Amino acid sequence: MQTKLNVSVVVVIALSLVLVGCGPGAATPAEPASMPTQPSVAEPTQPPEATAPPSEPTAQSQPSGEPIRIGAITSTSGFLGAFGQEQIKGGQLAVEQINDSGGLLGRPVDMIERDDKVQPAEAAKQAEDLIANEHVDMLVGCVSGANTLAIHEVANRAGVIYLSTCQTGSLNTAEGGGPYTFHMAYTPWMNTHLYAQWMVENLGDNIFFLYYDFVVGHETREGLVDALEPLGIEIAAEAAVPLGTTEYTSIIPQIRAANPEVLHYFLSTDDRAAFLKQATSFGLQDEMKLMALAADLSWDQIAGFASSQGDYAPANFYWELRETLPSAKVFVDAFGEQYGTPPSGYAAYQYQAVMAYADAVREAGTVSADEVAAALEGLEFDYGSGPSFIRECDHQLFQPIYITLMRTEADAAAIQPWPQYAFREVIAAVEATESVERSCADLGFAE
Amino acid sequence: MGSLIAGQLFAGLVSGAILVLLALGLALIFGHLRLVNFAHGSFYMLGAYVGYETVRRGGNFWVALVVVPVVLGLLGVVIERTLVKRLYGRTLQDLLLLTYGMSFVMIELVKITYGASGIPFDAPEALRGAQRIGDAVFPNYLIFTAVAAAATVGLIYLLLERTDIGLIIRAGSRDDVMVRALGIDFDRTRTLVFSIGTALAGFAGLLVAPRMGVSPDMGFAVMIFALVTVVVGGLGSFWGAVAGGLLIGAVQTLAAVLAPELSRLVVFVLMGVVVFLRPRGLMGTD
Repeated sequence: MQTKLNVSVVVVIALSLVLVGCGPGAATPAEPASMPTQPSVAEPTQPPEATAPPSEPTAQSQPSGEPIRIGAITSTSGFLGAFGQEQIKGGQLAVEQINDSGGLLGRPVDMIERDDKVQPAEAAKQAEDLIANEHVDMLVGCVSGANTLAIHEVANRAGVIYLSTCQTGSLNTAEGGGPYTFHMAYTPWMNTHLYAQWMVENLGDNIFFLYYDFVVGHETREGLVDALEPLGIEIAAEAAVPLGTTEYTSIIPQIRAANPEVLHYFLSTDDRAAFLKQATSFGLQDEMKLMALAADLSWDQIAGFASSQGDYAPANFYWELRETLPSAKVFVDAFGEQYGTPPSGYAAYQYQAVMAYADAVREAGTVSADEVAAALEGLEFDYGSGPSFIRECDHQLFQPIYITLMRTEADAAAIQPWPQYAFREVIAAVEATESVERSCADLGFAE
Repeated sequence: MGSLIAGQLFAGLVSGAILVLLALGLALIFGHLRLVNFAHGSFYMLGAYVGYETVRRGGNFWVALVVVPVVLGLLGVVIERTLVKRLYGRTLQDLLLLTYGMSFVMIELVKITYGASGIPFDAPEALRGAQRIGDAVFPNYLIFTAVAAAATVGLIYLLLERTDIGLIIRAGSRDDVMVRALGIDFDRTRTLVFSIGTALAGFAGLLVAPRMGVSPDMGFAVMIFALVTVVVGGLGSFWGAVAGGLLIGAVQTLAAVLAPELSRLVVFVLMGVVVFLRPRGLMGTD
């Protein structure tokens, strides 16, 4: 009887392995939660002019008429739910500010939120419903790269503007992109090219790279290799782990044995928190510098102060930019007043995307997709992350990147008004130029 | 290389010790209740959250070491009395479905309460840092985990082998009809065994929380390895759970050093070999 039961349990294990791929504990089938885009910025000596929120409307400028509808599709439930909810907050804040200043073209703006449940099929379904039944003028949002591709397909078929706010390397190519889709986040290629030189010059050139064994992980590795090549450096050692890995005690000894100067890692959310806890227990930070691929307030909240000491990471946005960047102060103060917490990079993504769309609509004088797309191409703006622009050929956002360093909890106690969120200080900035991404020709666009 | 392997082996044995605690709970529950508790991973997860709450409400990690098994044990009593008890005598599939459904309910309740993302949980100050022997590093918290797991296994062994209730539990696993015929309240021992199982799972979850964090889905993946452990060791076998857990932990981490590309497969290959050659498990009996 026990033999029969043992075999039954084996069958259950096999089924469980399948379910892990698609059950409640499953990681997204595409890639981990995207990182906030990282603008590359040189030493920030002259902060740009803040882009102030619209002023209070007069009685005569109250928006009226048929609303301009924005469909916000992101993951507000599931294991990425916290990040999607941040995006929604950022988008809602932008919509409120636009309406408070008289709306767009005199019309009020409505944002309709939908949850894609971290499933591409659901994302596509919601996009179709928003276009066909809610008649949205624009779609925005995503946390998962697989979902952004699904939304892009629907939006471009329907001729609707879509501003994607999660990181992927697939949207800004001639083959993968489209006339109505704009990628308002960094590609893995850009991300690595923005911070690689800083990392080598400041932390070391003997690098161990730990990354996800998945599409975005491999794209990131490819970008990192290319970014290091002009510096005469190769990745000294590497290890790839599956999504959802929380046990690193078998990998940490390999890292130690390689004796790198820099442990550069691409892990996110709970996996990252587990890795940092275990790295701290092994004292890795005493033997080498740790640098993450990206940082976000949401991720630091999961890991906490104790296990993240000495962790460097690039970020497209961190709320303490309010101290040096007027546009960040405007955004952070408004977000804090609205929600009582500082914004994360996910909130910044969505906020900037909606505000950029509003700028383009005003410039075009219409919500017609073709005209708005033309206005978005080459658009320059600064809504909290520094000087930003959208490249015309591939509709790709370029934005500065900020190098951050984790604080101790004791040091964070002095940072107001949110010491409990003062995880990182911004220690450097890298300027965004077109050289950090492949050329239009390289991406398949005609010169 | 020698110190690398020594450190790796130690880490693997500690990982295996967690599997031992989980497998022991599963083995006890199966041996006495004839139930494969598919919600075991969720009790493991709840143990981590109860630990988090204990610390958050002014306690500390040391207090949580006591609170978590007590709370999870009491939860086990409630669940066995209200749900599991109603399905005794039904088919294996019915019991599996019940516990499988329970696991999802527990996960979703935790997500509603705490959100879907993880929450920070750190080791106490006294257990931070590491010991170094040559090039090998032995984190203090891993040493503590090994000691705590070994002490727990020892306590369970003493309970089963040196107490009257342990005698009843062992007898009940072999012949519950005879135990009832002797006038012993078998239903109460079933409740007790189920609660010991859930307490063990919760304690294991608390032990891993400072290393792996606390998240609603943390029990889902570990459940697979716990089931592999009981298959390899032998379902219902105390020493099978111990040997299976340590073997799985050691094999997995050594494979990560010697053949990293195979490390994800080796555990399941081992399970396949055991099932093929000795279907009742290494220490199971028919």
